[in-house]
Amino acid sequence: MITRLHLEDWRIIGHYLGVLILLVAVAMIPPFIMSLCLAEYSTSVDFMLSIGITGIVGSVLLFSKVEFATLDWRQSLVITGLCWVVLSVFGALPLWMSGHYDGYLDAFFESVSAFTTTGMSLCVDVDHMALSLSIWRCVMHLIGGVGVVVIALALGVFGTGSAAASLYHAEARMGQVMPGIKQTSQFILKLAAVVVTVGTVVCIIPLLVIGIEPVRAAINGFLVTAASFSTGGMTSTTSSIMAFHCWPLEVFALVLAAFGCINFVLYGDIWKGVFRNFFKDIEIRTIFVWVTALAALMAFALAGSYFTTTGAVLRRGLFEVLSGAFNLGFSTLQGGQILFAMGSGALFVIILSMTICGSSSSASGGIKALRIGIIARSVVQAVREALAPDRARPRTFYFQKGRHRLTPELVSSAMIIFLLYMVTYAVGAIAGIAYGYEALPAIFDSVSAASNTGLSLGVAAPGMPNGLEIIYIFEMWLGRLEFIAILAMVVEMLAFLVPRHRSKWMRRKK
Amino acid sequence: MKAVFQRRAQKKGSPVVGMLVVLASICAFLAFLALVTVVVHFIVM
Repeated sequence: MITRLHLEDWRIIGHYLGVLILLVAVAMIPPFIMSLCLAEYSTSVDFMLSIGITGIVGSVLLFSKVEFATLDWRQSLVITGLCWVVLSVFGALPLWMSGHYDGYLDAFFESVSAFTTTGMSLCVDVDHMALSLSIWRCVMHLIGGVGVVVIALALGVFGTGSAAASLYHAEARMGQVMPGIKQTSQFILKLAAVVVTVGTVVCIIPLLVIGIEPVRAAINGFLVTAASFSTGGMTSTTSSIMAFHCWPLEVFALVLAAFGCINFVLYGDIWKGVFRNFFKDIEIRTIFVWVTALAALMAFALAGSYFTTTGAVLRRGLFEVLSGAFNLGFSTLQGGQILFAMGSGALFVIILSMTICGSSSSASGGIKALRIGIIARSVVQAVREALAPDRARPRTFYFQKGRHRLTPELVSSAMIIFLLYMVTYAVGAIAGIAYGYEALPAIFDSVSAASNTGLSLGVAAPGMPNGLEIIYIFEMWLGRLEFIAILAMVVEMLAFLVPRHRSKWMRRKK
Repeated sequence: MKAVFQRRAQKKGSPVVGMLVVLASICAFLAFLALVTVVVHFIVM
């Protein structure tokens, strides 16, 4: 039975959404300050207006529930589901005001793409966009990569009770590093701060070596680091990371993306200097096997293409596969080059690499290595059961911060999410074909959107049909929250809106 | 003997060492992938 949300519940939901909207207003302040420092005064005005509007709306919603109220699990689901879209509405404001987007819908698409760490862009002329706006896009990447709700939990906004746990898990986070949800969230935030700081310093060095002046090197170093660790992929150039023509920077970006693809819970042990769990982890082993197979497949697929030298195979072929596999979204090729110079076999390998991506509870999207590992183990279990004597009950285990038994419920849960991802990929692809795009680009971009990777063959570009934009926005949203939170939220909202039907017995009694 | 096990269980390393081990693992993995790619490329060519 579905328990309906009442007006009181919506007031509590509005209150906590207001808190999150105010957090977005605060997050706009550093790019605003940078716009003043860089003398981008027209962008400063855009940021001021956006901070003002966001702050006012957030404050109004905050006062929808003045008395203290604890969250229950249904309210948590709705907040988690809604906050990603609601925050994108306000995150789009400075982008829309900049004039670099063909309307508010394009800016909203960009904002959703940034928050969900997808990285698809509809910006017209990124190369001439204000640097402070590029910084804002990467700040949205970092917020989305770490998790909007995780940041709020770390700041103690939602308390520490069962509601905090519901919110944490509704945002597709599994497992805890510390005893409490708040301490776990604070650890994840601290880890992200350390990696981004060290990564920025490291990325500045090759940029200075290739001759970029120090201030721009520092800003681009931060942009590349933030986009890589959050596996977002937006930079300040139209040509992605290829614009810098710097292979050490490309390698650093892959290393940072790999850091972002590791389960944040594993970092708890790594932080204490305990490595055993890291090397035995099912997700690490699955990623090792899967990505190695993809690299070999890519080298094989590039045999008949234009990329025949070793350097081209590594820098174009292997980089594109790893960019897909690590959910990064950076490209060393333009969309047209990928489509015509690589060949359909190589494109198929990149599509495969984007479907699964990194670990659960990491910054990456996709089906996740844990589910593939569990499904693979379930196949092993099935074979063992078939070969075992009638009375034998073989048990299969997997390792993730300890040895766990593989249960039918676990396998069923993994298969459901796998199926939902496949259906989403297919629906987006069919929509792209219906809008007149070729099949391969439509499939490629649909998989890229739903897995939050961000590579594109040109479907997601300025001038994209509005209907397809809306479908891709849903794909990015669904992919980021892994379906269940959003589907549960939709059911709760429908139950609230649809009038209650009286049973025949009740009608006769009246 | 019990004291030895208890000391081992409580042993904690440095965060820097932990992160450096992960960094080294990632770099080794990327180098391995490059090697696999080059080997397959030469076999196919």
